[in-house]
Amino acid sequence: MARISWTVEAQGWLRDIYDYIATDNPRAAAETVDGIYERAQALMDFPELGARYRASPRHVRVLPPWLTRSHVNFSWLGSAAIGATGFALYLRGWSSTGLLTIGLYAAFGFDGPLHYSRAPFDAHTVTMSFTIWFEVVAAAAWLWHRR
Amino acid sequence: MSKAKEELVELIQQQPADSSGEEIIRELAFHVMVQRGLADADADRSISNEEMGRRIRKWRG
Repeated sequence: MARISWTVEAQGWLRDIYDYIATDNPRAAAETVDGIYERAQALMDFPELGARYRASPRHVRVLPPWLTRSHVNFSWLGSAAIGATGFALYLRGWSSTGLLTIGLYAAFGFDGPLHYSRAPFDAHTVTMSFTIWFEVVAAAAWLWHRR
Repeated sequence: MSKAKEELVELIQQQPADSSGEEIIRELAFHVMVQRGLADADADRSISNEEMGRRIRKWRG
């Protein structure tokens, strides 16, 4: 796991952002600052998230604004919905369309090891690696079974 | 030319040909902030993640 620290200037900026918004809406101020803090937490497990900032010779990464925990969860729900739709189609008698949709969902399982391009292997917990490889094995088993 | 000037001139050269003045200024400001952040981290002018979380909670009262 990576260690996160905040520079004194970053802390100053966060405080300024909080104070500026809080004069109008303290709740929005808290949500904004919490959102920034939360987004940085993803770096603990995935220090290679985001894109490399090439203008610096040092290893600096920039997190795009859309890359949040809720975005990741939303993407998971989206891909799970494809699998559920395929299963529902299959149960309702649309067997070929259903199986094709489930096949598409299974293919997503092969994307799992891409996580290792975002963070080194040892930055993943045992549970993370288990779910990544479980997805791959499940996808392979499904496609092999339906071949 | 000073090192800082050279660095910023090079950064301007790397910007897309159709960049607006505002986009270039934004990129330069971002670059200077990154440099300052690295200098702060190198000089240990930083606080832990947990301490940052505690301070945020304190602001909210």
